[in-house]
Amino acid sequence: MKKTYLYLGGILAGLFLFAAMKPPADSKSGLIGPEVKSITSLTFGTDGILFMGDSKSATVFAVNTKDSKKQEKSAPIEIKNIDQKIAAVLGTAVANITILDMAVNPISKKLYVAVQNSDGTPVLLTVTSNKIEAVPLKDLAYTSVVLNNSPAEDAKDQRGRSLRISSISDLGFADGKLMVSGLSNHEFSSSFKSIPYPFTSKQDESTLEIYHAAHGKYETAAPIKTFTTAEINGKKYLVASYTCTPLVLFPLDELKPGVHVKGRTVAEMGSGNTPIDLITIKKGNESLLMMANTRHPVATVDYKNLATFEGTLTEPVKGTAGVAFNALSMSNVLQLDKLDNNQVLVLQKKPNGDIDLWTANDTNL
Amino acid sequence: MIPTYKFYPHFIIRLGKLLSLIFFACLLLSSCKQKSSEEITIIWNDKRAIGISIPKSFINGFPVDSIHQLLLVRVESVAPVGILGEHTIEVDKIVFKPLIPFSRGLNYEIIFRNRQIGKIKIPVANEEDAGSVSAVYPTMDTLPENLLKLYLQFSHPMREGQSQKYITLLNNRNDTIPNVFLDLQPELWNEERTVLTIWLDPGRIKRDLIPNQKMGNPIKKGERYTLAISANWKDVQGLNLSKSFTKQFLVGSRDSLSPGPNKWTLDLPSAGTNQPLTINFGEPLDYFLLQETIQIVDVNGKRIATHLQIGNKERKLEFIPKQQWKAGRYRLQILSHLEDLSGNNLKRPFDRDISLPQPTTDKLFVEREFVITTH
Repeated sequence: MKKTYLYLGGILAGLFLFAAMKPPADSKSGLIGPEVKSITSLTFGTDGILFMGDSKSATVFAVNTKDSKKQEKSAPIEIKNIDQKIAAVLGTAVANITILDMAVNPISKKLYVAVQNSDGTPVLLTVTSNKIEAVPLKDLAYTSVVLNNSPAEDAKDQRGRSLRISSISDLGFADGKLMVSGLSNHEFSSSFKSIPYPFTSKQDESTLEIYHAAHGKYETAAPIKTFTTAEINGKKYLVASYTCTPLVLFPLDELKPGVHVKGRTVAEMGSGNTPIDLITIKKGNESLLMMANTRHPVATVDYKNLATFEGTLTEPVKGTAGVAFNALSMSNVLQLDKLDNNQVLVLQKKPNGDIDLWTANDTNL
Repeated sequence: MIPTYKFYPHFIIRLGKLLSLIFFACLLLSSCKQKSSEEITIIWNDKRAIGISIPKSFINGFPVDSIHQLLLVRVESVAPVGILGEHTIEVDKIVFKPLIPFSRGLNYEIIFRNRQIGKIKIPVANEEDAGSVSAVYPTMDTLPENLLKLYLQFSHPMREGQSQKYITLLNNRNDTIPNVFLDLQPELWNEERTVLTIWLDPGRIKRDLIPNQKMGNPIKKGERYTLAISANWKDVQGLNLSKSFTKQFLVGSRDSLSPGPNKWTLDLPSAGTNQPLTINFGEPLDYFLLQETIQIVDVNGKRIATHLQIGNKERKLEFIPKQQWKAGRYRLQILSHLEDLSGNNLKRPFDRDISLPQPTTDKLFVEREFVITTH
């Protein structure tokens, strides 16, 4: 009998221990499997944590890549016809693949690339100058956060219904928080959430209503396409670009849950274009905001000018206006990411249709 | 004894014949089995070639733990690189699953110790499986000048990221109008990849923005246009659409007003019937938002179970009750983010002139009461 009690006690202790180890109720964890339906955005957090935005399941996965060996200097990466090389290792024709995003691990300086096959199958690869490898997602631990409440939870939420995201337009990580901008395929609106990481059972996220104030006369809902964070005049800002290319600043400390926020439009970057990526880099002593676009060449804005431009675009203007920006001779740039403070990885479609990956530095900017 | 004596030789002969037959049958079966296990076969799942099975006899004599180094699969006559994927060793075969399914129409070769041990061809998909455009919303033939979005609905899951190549807008003279649709990547597909949302360039619709000032609205009042969707758009299996699709429309006036639930007319059913309750909006509203933003609750706030039917080119919504209506007071609850074709919702018009007062709401939803009686 004593032995039986001993066994029972052991089992109970085990159960309590298991319960204590259980992950928070609202966030899942485990090894990544078929629940990743798409990989549409990438950004790195600290300690080799890679945030993967899965638009199809409106979920962000925080994957522990275990890639945390510090690399001080980063060797430039140059790969001609990278799309053909990726297609070859995936065993398909180049027309069947699309590179959806890329992100450099700031610790190891290793490049991670999200690729989608024509049938929708997502793939995560690491790319160096001489090797393309698969990231073994199913062997890596993750936690995740679901961005859409179920419709029943939406109905219960009397404070205001959060927009149902069908596309994660960008991800960012700063000050221990994951920032997510999302678009809906039904409503013309934008969702911006700031979610503390590690994810907890309590989703302390802030949802903003973002409006585009045009010239002091009209305001419209304004979906954010891409963003970054920066310090201007000693204050932290969200630097965002809308789908219709204005560049907008929001003080980070004003982004609070449920707040109707109007961004301060500091530049309009021109028509018929959507922004792809925003990053901050150094050129000598200058700090530059670099922006890749679908139809326009890559543009840079000097942070000094952003700091001194106190106004907003309040009067109707002709052409591009606001803070001066410099259009680089770099067109058809599909993706940008910082390799380090002075080097930028550029994924670019060349006039002959080839897609090359190359490293830009002071001399190109 | 004699009959027994006579019986035994017969029995032995018959048994012998039977055993020979069984022996030959087994031989035949085993040779058949031998033959089928000697082939490299494609593993299919939902019409996708997700792997290949290679008989172990192909690599006899080599330790299984060295197989992933010695065996590679590659696209025939392309760069000599092995495809990324996973090998699994089973009792009598090795299964190779690539990271993405093998592509339709491509040939692959299987290499073991630098020697080709087999080839496979992934057949192109059956053209009978080709999909088509099943609907384009809004379905009206006259659309507002500040039309914000279109939904393209397909019968089959489609290849993403291709819309700019295959959707064109033609004017009355059959000229293609450039830069009408926003080049948004990734595109706004539903989870099944069967419905794509296309935005007309919002920068050109928002009054006073530079693109609006320079180029005006993407479509002009009084003009006729044709939306053309090319049959060359491929689905996820790599098949072209079975036919191209066109929709002609005329452009009407700008719509700068929020939908007004108080102006909607309600056709009320009688208590004790299963007649539909019909809302006539007096204008077309967003086809997909209509399905998720309006509900009926009873006096206690309990939701009434209904089927929805959108009609009259998105100008009408019918609630067909699952149970007979009971006499009493009800409320129509409409979530404020319901939009019309120009992105005006119950909270605010699409581009609000902030110098003018606007009849908008900050509420999550608005309500309208009605009473069902026995006529």
